Amino acid sequence: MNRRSLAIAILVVLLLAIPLVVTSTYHMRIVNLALVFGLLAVSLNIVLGYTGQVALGHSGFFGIGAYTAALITEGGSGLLFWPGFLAAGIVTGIAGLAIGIPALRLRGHYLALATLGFGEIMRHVFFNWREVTRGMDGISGIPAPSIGIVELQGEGSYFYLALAILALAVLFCWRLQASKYGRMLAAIRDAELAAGTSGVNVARLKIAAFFISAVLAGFSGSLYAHLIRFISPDAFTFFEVTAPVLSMVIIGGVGTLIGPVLGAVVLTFLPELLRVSDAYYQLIYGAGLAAMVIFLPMGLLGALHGRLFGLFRPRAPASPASAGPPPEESAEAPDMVRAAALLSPKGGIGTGAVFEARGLTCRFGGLVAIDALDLQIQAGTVHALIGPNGSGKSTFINLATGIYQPTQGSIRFLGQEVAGARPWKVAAAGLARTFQNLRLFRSMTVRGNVLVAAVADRPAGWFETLLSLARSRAEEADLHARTEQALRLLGLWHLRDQLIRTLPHEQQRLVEIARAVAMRPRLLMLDEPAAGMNPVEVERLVTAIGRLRELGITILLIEHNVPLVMRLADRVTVLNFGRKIAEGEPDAVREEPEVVTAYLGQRLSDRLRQNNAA
Amino acid sequence: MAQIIASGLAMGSIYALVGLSFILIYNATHGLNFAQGELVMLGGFVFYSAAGTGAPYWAAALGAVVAMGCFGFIYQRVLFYPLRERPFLAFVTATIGFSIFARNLALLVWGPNPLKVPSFFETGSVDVSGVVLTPEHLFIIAVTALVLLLQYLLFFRTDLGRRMRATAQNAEVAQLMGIRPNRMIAITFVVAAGLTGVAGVLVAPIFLLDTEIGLNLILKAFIAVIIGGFGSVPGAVVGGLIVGLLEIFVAVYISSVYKDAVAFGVLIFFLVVFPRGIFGERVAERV
Amino acid sequence: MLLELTAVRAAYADDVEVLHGIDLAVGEGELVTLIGANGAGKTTTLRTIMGLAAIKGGAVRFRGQDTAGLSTPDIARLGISLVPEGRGVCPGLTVFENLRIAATPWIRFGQSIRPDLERVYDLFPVLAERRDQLGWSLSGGQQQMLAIGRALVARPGLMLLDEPSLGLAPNLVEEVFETLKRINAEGVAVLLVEQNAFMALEVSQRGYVIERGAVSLESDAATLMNDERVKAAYLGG
Repeated sequence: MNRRSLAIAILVVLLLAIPLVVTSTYHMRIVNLALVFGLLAVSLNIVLGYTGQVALGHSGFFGIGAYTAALITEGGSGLLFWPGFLAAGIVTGIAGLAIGIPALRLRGHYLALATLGFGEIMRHVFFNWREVTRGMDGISGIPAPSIGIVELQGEGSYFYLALAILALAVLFCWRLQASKYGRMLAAIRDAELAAGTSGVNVARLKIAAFFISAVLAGFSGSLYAHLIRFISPDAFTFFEVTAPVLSMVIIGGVGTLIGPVLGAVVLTFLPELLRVSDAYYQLIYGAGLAAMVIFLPMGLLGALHGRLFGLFRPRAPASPASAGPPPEESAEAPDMVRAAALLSPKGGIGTGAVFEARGLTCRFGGLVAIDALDLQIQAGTVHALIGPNGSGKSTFINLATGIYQPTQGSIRFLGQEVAGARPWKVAAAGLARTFQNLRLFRSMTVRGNVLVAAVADRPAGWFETLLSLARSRAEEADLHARTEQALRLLGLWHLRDQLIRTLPHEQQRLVEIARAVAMRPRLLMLDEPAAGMNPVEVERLVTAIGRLRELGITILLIEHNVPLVMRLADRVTVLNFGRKIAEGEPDAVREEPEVVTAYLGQRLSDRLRQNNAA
Repeated sequence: MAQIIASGLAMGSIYALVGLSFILIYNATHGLNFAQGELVMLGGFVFYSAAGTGAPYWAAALGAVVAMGCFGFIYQRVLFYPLRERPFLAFVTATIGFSIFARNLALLVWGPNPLKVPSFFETGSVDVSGVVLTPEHLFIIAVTALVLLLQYLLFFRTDLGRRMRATAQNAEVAQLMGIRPNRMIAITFVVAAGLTGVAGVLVAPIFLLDTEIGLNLILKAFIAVIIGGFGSVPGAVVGGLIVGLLEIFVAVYISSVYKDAVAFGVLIFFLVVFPRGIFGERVAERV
Repeated sequence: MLLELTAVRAAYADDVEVLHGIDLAVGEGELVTLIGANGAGKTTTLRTIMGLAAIKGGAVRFRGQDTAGLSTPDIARLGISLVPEGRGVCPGLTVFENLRIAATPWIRFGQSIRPDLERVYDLFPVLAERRDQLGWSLSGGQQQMLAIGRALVARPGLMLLDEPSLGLAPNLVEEVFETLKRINAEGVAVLLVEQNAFMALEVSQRGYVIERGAVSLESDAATLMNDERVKAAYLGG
């Protein structure tokens, strides 16, 4: 048995012993409340921590769950607990969808206010829909839960039920975090745009997260109703539920696995420890919450983690950025046969024009960024798109990858119209890209970044993934194998476990390319891959691009380093003011006077001569 | 009818002041100050205590406004400044922490019983060419109009105001012009907190003052700024008046039970269907 | 020397070093151009002078004073005005207000900004016509004029311009460069960053070529105009 499982076993025994040690009913009630709120905090953490969306309406979900369970079981037998529990989850889950789907369009503070509004509406519904909720009178006569014929009377037996459900929820979150979906959620949180262009269906995952969070909140509402055995609208307000649960998540550590539970335990027991009147306690709690945010940004668990690493790890692995040049990669070149087996474009290399833009136009207000552009990219070539600053090159990539909507014109990729399609659709069709301003998933390692985008041959579904069935394990192995090849191909394998932010700029650029390659794209658009690189680094980039070519990936290269373009490109298109001013073989294009003028400007004397001639 | 409209506009004026002060802080810092309602509550209580010392009405009111303005400076120094580079959730959480703190502080200092601030006016009603109106309502509307005029003059007719606007629109360019953004932000907090002080003074005589009023005010202010268009100053004012009128009309013609639920329904409607609000910013498009 | 950069290294917030040792100087009343391909570090050089990018080594001196430790507003108050790339016009301020806030470094109670405004309106009559229009409603060319006008109102000893020709139609570019020449003739030193190399050199006295975060060439403008290496820096040799 390794140390971790030992620690978990000890923890389980300690937890199970709690009802034997704590004899006072009053204190057991507090323990049980901590479990109920722990579950609610876990639920909020999925939205807040995993996807990074600020939602402030969990009092509403909690209340819906509690009322659903209460109405089903009211005055009945404890056996009704389970149907009530499930119904609470379902009804709340539906409410979560009803909020989550329209909320997709909302971001940041809009989402915060919309969910807050939802919570307030629910409070008014509980209060005013007397026919159902009894208004201020509340609902009493909620039975204690029963399992089979065993009625769980008393706080001690309730404890085991609540603990089991909370443990299952935490287990579920652990599976979720460790799965491909967890990586995708984290990717959305870190860089939503790049998640989309890496093939993550952003909308579906956000809704899924909202749904899961709502279901768990409904479960905790049901548990609450059966613990207190009486509910009334007062219990489901912003200051009674949302604010404390938000505090629990933040105090425990946003985005951590058990931080929210820890936060719930701390906040539920704090008043007992302080032993002051409620107003004084709230005073301390309010000030403490603000202080916590200011001084412990990562929460208790985050702070603890830092400490533990400091204590137990001999030294954090030195980041290459601070330790001079990065460790040399192994001299041997990657195994191209293996790379080709795992990374060649999905669907073959193809022939003819893989990509064709026709009459493509994009206007921002009065500014014409792309003006009636026709562009064909032939399979298997490196096609360069160059032009001075502001000529519309990046806009073109954004149009092609679904980030901008064209004003006019068509974009056909592999014979399929992709103009205006969602980024993940374009990505799934086989068009990958990198970003000029790096958009990496900064909370993850190098490997994690590439894994997000990797595409397996036989993807597993939600069910298989969360239960870690054979198919899902096979998929993970597949994804890891492809990721390994992508990293080896770009000479990044030795850095696989480094956090992105510890890497120097050049290697971050290469990670973006590796991430794109792992998608097994037919066409890869590189937006200024050499920006900020020194000559040695540029040489490494040239080698890498050569390998991509060998795999059969068609490349569109946007680059300001014109000498580099001349070396790499088979064909060059020059843009200026959003229009194509030249196209052809690299050497021929460079000599065209219009290109020289576009880059270097025109001498006044030349202009005067022209004006005189005209 | 005129009575209803006056009372709706009076309540709407309060919402407008809270919404405006909230938006001023948002525009300057992109921070959402959830404790704006609690600042109004504190302003009301300070006014109550000041009036209780026997000071003349105007002196107590001025004292409350100035006190809140000073408090605004401390507030930004302690709560905003350390969090200015952090994601917006940090500031939101800190201000929620402050509202919990402030509510309970008020509970300890002023007690749990709602307090009545005596009215400034002796007569219960005035007769304006045949229409009977409550003088308080007219007073609230008039004072709010005056405050809004002063705001306008500050922001559009003084160099300080122009610099504050420039900082809110583009802090980096403002720095290139020699403007110190941190100073502008501190002044914005002072002005915004002063406005909540005005709202507190105005709201005290028509409501019973208790520690709960802050939540209702900030929620209504949120609705106001969403209806008006997030980030728009005239939007916050118009939105506030709309919420005030909506509330009173629902209460009178449908049922007072549903006035809040309707208001939140309007909030969700605007967020989902019309997220840019009435004065949706053209400026935002250009970013 | 009015402005002097010695061995300046600089990095952005994410610690990516962009400048690896820039030596550059602008004398009183000079018009100097800094040219180079995209990503070479031209914009970063200007931002470093203004304190907007972190100095990792070397020194920036203005009128002999080391700017280390000064904030951007402080540096602006020393008398350096930057016309940023993209112009940085405040969208919700009128033309007049945009100009007015630029007087912040020197204006004191009771002082008049009128002569400064007249000078700007004289240089760019179209701004006088549109003085009450909001910034966002101006065309690109008008915004560029406003940005330059704003820098002038600050009464700078040194004016920095970042790609003033970007996105402008050719005849407007010409107008902008002519204006710069005029401003320089009135005694304002100018450091110009341009991709439009030939035109910039034509109005300048001296020029620097910057490649990959370091100065690779330095000469008087006429010599650079005919130096093949300038073309190579952009288009490869």
